[in-house]
Order: sequence, then structure tokens, then C-alpha cells
Amino acid sequence: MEPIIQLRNLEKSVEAGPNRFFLLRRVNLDIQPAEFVTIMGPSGAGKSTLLSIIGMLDGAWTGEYYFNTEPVHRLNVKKRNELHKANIGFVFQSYHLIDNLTVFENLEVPLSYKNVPHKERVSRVCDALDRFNIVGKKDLFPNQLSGGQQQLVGVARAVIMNPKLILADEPTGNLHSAQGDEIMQLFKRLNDAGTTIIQVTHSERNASYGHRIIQLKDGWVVGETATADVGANAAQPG
Amino acid sequence: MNTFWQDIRYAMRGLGRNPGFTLVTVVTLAFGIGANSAIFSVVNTVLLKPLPYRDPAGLVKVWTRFTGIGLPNDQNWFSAPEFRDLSEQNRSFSAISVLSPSTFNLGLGGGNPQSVTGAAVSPALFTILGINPPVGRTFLPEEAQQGRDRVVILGYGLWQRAFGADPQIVSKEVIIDGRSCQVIGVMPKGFDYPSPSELWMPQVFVPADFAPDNRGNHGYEVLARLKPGVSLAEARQDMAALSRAIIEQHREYPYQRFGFALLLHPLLAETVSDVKTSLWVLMGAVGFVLLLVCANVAGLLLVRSTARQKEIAIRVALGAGTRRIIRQLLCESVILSLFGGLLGLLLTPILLQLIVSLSATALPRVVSTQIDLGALLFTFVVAVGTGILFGLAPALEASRGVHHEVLKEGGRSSSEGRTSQRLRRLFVVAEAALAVLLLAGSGLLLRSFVKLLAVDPGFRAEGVLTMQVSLPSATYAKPEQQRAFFQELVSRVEHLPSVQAAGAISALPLGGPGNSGTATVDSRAVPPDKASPETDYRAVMPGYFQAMGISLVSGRYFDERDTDSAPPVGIIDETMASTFWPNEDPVGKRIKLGGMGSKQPWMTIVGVVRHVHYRTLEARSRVQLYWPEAQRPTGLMSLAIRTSAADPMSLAPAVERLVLGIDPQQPVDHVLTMEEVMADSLARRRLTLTLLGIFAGGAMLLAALGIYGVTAYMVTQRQQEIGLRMALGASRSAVLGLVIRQGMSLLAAGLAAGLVLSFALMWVLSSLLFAVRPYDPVSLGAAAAALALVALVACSIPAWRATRVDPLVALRYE
Repeated sequence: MEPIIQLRNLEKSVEAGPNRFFLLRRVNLDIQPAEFVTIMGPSGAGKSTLLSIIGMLDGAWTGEYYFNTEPVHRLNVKKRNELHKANIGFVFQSYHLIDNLTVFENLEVPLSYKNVPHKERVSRVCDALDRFNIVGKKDLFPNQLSGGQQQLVGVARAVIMNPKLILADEPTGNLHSAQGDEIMQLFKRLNDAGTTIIQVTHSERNASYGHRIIQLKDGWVVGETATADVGANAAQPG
Repeated sequence: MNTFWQDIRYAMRGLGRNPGFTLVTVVTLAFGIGANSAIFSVVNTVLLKPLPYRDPAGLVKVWTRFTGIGLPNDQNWFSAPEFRDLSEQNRSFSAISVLSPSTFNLGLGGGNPQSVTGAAVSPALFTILGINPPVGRTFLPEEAQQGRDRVVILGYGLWQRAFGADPQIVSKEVIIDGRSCQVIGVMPKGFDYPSPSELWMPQVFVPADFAPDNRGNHGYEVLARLKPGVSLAEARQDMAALSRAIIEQHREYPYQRFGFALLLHPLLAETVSDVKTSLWVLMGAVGFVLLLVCANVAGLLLVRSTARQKEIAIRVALGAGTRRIIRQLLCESVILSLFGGLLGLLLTPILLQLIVSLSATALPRVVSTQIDLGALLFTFVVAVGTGILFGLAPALEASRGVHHEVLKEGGRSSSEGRTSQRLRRLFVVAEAALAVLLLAGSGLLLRSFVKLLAVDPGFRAEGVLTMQVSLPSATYAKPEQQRAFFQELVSRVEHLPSVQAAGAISALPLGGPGNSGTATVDSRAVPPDKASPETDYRAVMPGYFQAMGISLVSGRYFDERDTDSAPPVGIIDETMASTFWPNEDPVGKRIKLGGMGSKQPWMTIVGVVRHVHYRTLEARSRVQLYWPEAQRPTGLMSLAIRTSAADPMSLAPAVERLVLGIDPQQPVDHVLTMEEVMADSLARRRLTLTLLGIFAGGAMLLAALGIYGVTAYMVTQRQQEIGLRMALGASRSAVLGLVIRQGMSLLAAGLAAGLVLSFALMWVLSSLLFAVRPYDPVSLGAAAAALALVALVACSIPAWRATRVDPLVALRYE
């Protein structure tokens, strides 16, 4: 099976006066479909930068990036955006829900950007509300929800387009442990259902939900370890 | 499409959740758009709308021109013989009408008589204009003959007001100027040509009107309709040929020397020609105000989009493309602008009311201004255009940020990007430039106005009450009756308490064109061919010069010696004296009305008075000649009464009682202080000045707000730096200087751009200026200084706040 993501000699740098600082250096990485990968490393290692590039939000890098064999490095902005819209969902540490919109409308936003017809949008949002057990919250605004509930909406928003890949940047960073576990269980279930997940985390416990850990330091991939089957661990946190 | 509605819904919600921002923006926009709608409504009504007559393009006014004697304009009236020449010999007109605006006394049974503005016209007038009366009929051709002319047509308003809209009014008898006349029709609502007429009588010519002596007696306007298929250019050629023919046919009259010509002006162009520049200048000014509003709101939106960086980044992360983000943001700005437009439409009637109240006498057709479909469409287009204009730059800027950085934990905070900062500064510079332009423009008009007020008109207006008395020819047909009435009236007025002097004149200064014609001087100093100048002449009663404060240069004023049985005498103005009797005293010399061959009696000059600005304050009038009313009585006189009362108007009821005491059927009209007469003559200037002043004031305020906003934001952004500087020993004055320098550097750029703009555009105002050059350094300097002062205050507020920064708190603050 072809990897869903292939990175070859991927590099990202920024200029600061006469100097050039590398944020990522010669990153080579293959991620298989339905894999659950964790990226770890100290602050400034380049984790979020790598996630932004994989998520096609950042286009200023060099090297090769294949998404489902599609050469992202050769695509123009428009094509890249289309690929991103069709395949990738994001979950953020700070949830990043839109404050002005209700839960229902927040879930509707990515669908509207993909020009999904109104009726279908409503139907898919209702399904998501039902699936994530947040029907009762649909008319509330983000500031009327707890952190866990907001992240639940964040995950629901990420999966509403049925993405092949979910990118999660410290998804439980702002949650207490019980809420965090709930979210991680949710990721696990999504992964079991076939969605590829890449998460960035500092938490060993969250990492244990995945199949593999990529270690980054100063922009370099410095290690890669497989994690044991964590289904049992996840069921018994502590 | 439904995502578009979604954008609208979200935009409305977003604006609703920021009520402060929304309110400030909508109100700012409302003033900009409302002012534009109001001025557009006026421009549309006055300049753009066709005249409300049948085929208005075929209507022309015909004028005579006498350039050879230096008359200041191309719009001189016709004499009766000239009108007959034109009627009989032209090849271009299908119909032609004379117009003789006048005041009529309307007697109404038991009540006081009314003075009504109207016109004596040819029966053809209504055919020319294509106006059909809703009640009754118009004049028959034979009703312009003496003896058959006792017919009258009423204006709609007069019919409503004075006759209670009596549906049986036709055939009823009314008393006009003491004669019983039959009402034959009522004109449709709104019809008042020649404005502001409310009553029409047939113009009757008698053989004496066409006497050769009368060729210089110019008292009629002329309106004509071009024959079908005849273009304006062809008609003008015809007029040129006819002018030459008239010069040839009437060699006894000095047409050749007078540079006589017949001129045509399309009726619409002529109706609005005097106000065109003023209105387009105001339209331009209000357009600049809107641009300024756009720059101001765009600045606010840039700040807001900084605060919305996260939201935009999330939308991008969720798949929104650049176009979609721009669409969403433009949707918000257009909605803001449409709300501004709606609120502006509520403000428009208030502004219109102000404009109409300022300009009812200054702008033709302005009273019929209303917010019609055209104005609504204009407002809608302006609102949408404005929304796009002020929203585009912030939307583009917001859509092209590095969004993923904002989403990173501990990533870039919501500080304003460099491009955004540059844009905001650019907007503020543009605001300052536009404000300087508008301030300089209104400064120039103000200087012109002040200079005009300082013009010595040749009389002293303060403390003078005036009113017009028009004696009807039926009851005052004989000159001795007219003379007796006015002598009795002036003598009674003189005895009123507080009256210092009283007199009367056939036409007040600055109250209308008055009479003019040829006069011939008996002077050895000028060759015979130059001895017949076109002269402004007036009949006056003793006491007029004293009442008006018109100084005597030599000789004497008229007095009780100058009766009808005494030798004819005249008084001339100093300009005529110095022109025709240079280096000698004209007192004792002779002058007569008409050309060299005129049979009019010679008048002996008994006095020379100061030149009076009879026509406009801006320009000196023609040479002037006065004669005693007693020697040539007239039925239309204006009283001039100098009083010691603080308010001259307080004397008016007593004078009106005196008039009714002499003749209970005699109304008075145009009861005004002389200062009001002068003020009315400046109404158009005052309107332009007031509106431009308001726009410039608003522009200055907006520019100051813009500078305040940028400076205040800079202080917030640099709070830490300022704290650090203070911790390192910077004094409060150093901090104050730091902040003020930043604000004033923007102002300096704005001033420079504004002055360049002013130099480029100020020529537009040339025709509106008086005794001031368009590049008047005083006005430009004052505009720059005024804006600099206001901007300094605007910068000082955040600068003062910066000096209150506690270094410890600022350094701890993140």
C-alpha cells in the first residue's frame, strides 16, 4: 500500500537579517493510511511547523511532499487548497472555534467552504451533533461551553468532511486529564475506523494512543519509535 | 448562492456582537453617504432633471447683448420694438413670448389686498411650454389687445390659498391692480414660470410702446420654441443674421456702436448657469468627504482585522480560499455601508431642509428637491461602492497574512502586520490631505465672503427698513395720483417716531435689475458718438439719499423745489461725473433719456452722489442717473426708511398701517431691512460657503480622529518600549515628544499632499472667488495651520497617556 504521506528532504527556513535559520532540516517521513502517528520534541523543535506543512497551510518550504501520491510540492496554491479541503481536518490545542458562530454553524463552516449544498450541510451537521452527543449544545456559542465540550466540537468539525487525515496540535493541552482521555479515546475510535491521525504532543500518555512516535529536535528527525498496543492502557488511565 | 446568504448572516451577527465598532462606523458612514445623497438630490433636481415642460430641449431664452458699452453680461432684456423685430423677422421659432415679471395687487373682498408676484406674458407662452391648465383655459391671442385683456390665470398655490380651491373659480371676477378681471384658468400644481409667478396677465402692447424713442427701454425677457428640425446652431446663425439686419434697419439707434447682438441660451442651461459651478464644487467636496470617511473606516477595519486574525486563520485552516475570505470581509463592509446608507437616508431630509432653507432664493428649482427614485438609486450605488472601497484594502490585507503562524500555540500574537500599519498610516495621510483641500477651499470662499462684506456698496444698510408699494394702474392711472400717493406716504412716514429720514426709489440696490437704458449727456469732453451711455436710472423721492446714507459729492440732493412744474433736474453718480465731465463739475450740465435724437426733455444736473452697487456687490454697476419721482411719477416704488430703532423691522407694522390709512386696498410687499436685502443678494455664496464649511469641518474632525487612532494604537503597541525608555531615564517631555512626533509626521505628509492637491484643484473655485486668488497663501496657510492645531490636540491625548505609563507595570505587561 502506498503511504498517505511521503516527505523527502523537506526543509523550511526563515531569513533573519543576514542569517538563515532552519526550522526543519532534511525531514524524510512515510506515514501509512490509517496510521496514528505522534510527533514529539522540545519546544522549538519544529513540531507545529511540520504539522502546518503536512496540513498544507504553509507552502514556503523545499523538498518533496506526496499526499496520496499527489506531488504537493508541484501544486499551485489553489490545487493545494483543494487537496487540503478534501482530505485534511485540524484539531487545535485552543480549539479555535469561531466565537461569533454557534456550535451548529461552527460545524457547518468547513462544509460551506467545500460548497456542499445547504440540505446536505444540515444533514451532515445533524449527524455529527448526534454522533458526538452534542445535539443539546447546537445553538450555544463557544464561550458557553466548557473546554472539553469545545474540543469535542473541534474534533467534530475536523471529521465532518470525512477527512482521510486528521492533524491534531496538542489536542488535550488545555483540558484536564479526564476530558483529555475522552478526546484521545475519540481519536482512537476514528483511527480504528480508518482515519489517519497525526498528533503533536508533549504528553507520553497521549502518545501511547498512537502507533509510532517521531522525535524532532532543532528541526531534525532524531528518532522514531513504535508504541505498544495502547488500547488496554487507554482503557485504564492512571 | 446560499453560502452568500450565510456570509450575510454571519456578517450581521459579527457586527451585532461589536455594537461599539458597528455604531461608530455606521454613524460615520451615514454622515458621508447622507451628505452625498442630499447634495446629489439637489444637483439632480436643479441641474440634471429636464425642465417640466413639453420637449424642453426646444426651449430657448433670447437675449440682447450690448458689449460695445461694456455691459457685464450677455443677458440684457428687449425693448418692445426689438421684440417686434424679433417676432416678425426670425426664421427659427415656432412661437415666441414676451415675459414681464411684475407684482400685482390682488383685491380680495373684505380682507386686506395681497401683493402677488406674477408676470405679464404673451398668450403663446403656455403653448410654448406645453402647459395645459387643469381648470379653465389659457389666454386667447386676442386677449393681448387693449380692452380685451381683463383676464387672469391663477397659480395653483394662489388658487388654493386665496380662493379655497374654488372649483367654480373660472369666470369669476377678481380685482387685479384695481381693475376687475375675469379668472379664466388655474395653472397646474408646481408651475410657476417665470419663477416665482403665481398670477399671469396678458402682455398688452400699445402703439406708443413701439415708438422709436422706446427702442432703448429694455424691459422684457423673451422665451421661444425652436421650430421642429431647427438646431440651436442654426437658430444662432439666424440670430446673428437678424442682429445685422436690425442694426441696418435702425441706423437712428446706435446699435453698431453698442455692439448689439441677439443671443440664444437653452432654457435649462440658462436656468442653472449661475449655480452650476457652485453645485458641482459642492458635489466634488462632498465626494471628497466620502473618500475621507472611507479612509477613516478602512483604518478602523484594519485594526479590527488585526483582532480577527485568529478567526481568519481558522477559516483558512478549515478550507476557506482567499476569494472566500475577501468575499466574507467585503460582505461585512458592504453591509456596514448599506446600514450607513439607510441611516444616511434618514439624515438626508434634514440636510435637504437645511440646504433648501439656505438656498430657496439662491437656487432655481431647489424647493422641489425630494428624495426620489434617482436619489435612492444613487444612495444604494454609493453605499455599495463605499463598502467595497473601504473594505477592499483591509480585506486583501487580512486574506494574505501568514495564517498558520497565528494558530500555533505561543505563535505570533495579534499584533498589526507591517503592511497593515503602513496602510493605516497611508489612510491617515490621505485623510489629512483631503481635509487640507476642503479647508483651503472653504477658506478661500470665506475670504471672498469677508472681502465682499467689506465692499463699500455706496450706502449704509444698517438701520434701514424697506418695503415695496406697487400702485395698480387702474386706480392710479394718472401720474399725479401716483405722485400724490407717494408724497403723502413719505410725509406721514417721516413723522413716525424714531424715523430719521425717509424716501423712496423705483428699484432698491441689490434688489433686482431695475431699469436701464440709454441716456445722452451734453458734454464737450466726449465725442458725440460716445455721449450716449447705457445707464442705470431710477426715480427717487427727496429723503431717499439721506435715508440710505448715500453721500453727496457735489451740488445738492433733490428737495421740495423739484416739483412737476419745476425745470427737470437729475442727479448722477460720481462715475458718470468723472467719465463724462472729467476735471469739471457736472452740476449745471444737462442729460436726457434716449439717444442723441431723443425728444425727451433735458434734465439739469443738480447733484453728484457716490456710486452705488445696484446690481451686485461684486461689481460696480453702470453709470447712474436719478430724477425726482415728482417729475416722472411711477406706480412702483420701494420705501427706504432710516430709523433709530434697534430693530428696523419693528417699524414695519406702523408703516403698513400708514399705507392702508391712505388706501385700504393697497398692499405692501417685500418688507425687509436693507441688511436682509443685502444678505439675500449673497444667499448663493452663503450657501456654498456654509456647506463647504460644514464639509471641511467634518473632514478636519475625521482626519484628527484618524491621527488620534494611529497614535493611540502606536502608544498601546509600544507601551513596553516606552516603559523601558522611562526606566532608563527618559523624561515625560521626551516621551511626549516621541509620540507627538510620530503623529505629526503623518500630518506633515498629509499637509504636503494636501497642498499639492490644492494647487492642482483650486482653479475650479476661480469663478466663485472675489478679490482672492485660487492660490491665496493666507487661505492655504490657514487651512494647514488649523488642521495642524487640531492634529496636535489629537496626538497630545495619547501622548499624555503615554507619559502616565508606569515603567514597572509596562515591563511586567505581556
